[in-house]
Amino acid sequence: MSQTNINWINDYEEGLERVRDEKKPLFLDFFKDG
Amino acid sequence: MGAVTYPDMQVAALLNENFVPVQVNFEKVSKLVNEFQAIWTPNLNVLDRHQNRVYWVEGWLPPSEFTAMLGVARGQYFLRGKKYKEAEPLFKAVFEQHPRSQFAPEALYYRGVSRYLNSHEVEELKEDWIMLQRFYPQSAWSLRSNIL
Repeated sequence: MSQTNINWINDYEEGLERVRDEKKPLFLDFFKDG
Repeated sequence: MGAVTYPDMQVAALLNENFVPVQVNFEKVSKLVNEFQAIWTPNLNVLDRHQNRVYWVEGWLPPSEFTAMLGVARGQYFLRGKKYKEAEPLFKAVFEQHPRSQFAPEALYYRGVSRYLNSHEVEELKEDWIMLQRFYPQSAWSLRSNIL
């Protein structure tokens, strides 16, 4: 997990709900540990 | 991405302001990995509210290129949603603010597309594509515009 100032959501479905509410695109990053 | 690009302040601001940033562990979301045919990381996707993938990049990008990529991705979000007027200035901003970026030729290509789809004036398409061929002659996007 990156330590940044980005307000990451770690749940895809929650992200989709936010997208529908906020009318913004969803940025989806698949990351690997290490 | 987590070591260099995401800690960048401008990257963070752009993601927070213009996107809903979602980060999931590749090893723990097999259903999503299969849906998106994700075989490699970094794997960066931009989706609309209907889960259509409007832009996609595999591989690492430094902050400056990542910033330019976000501009193109946002332009594609509006372009694919047929909001051509909103898309055009986003593509324009990419090649004006990041003229040396790998994403600049793509932005110029799609700025022409956005303008044409909005106005149906072929001269607007030509203007951008001629500029593309002039300033980025070695680009794959220049090749794709070579029908003019």
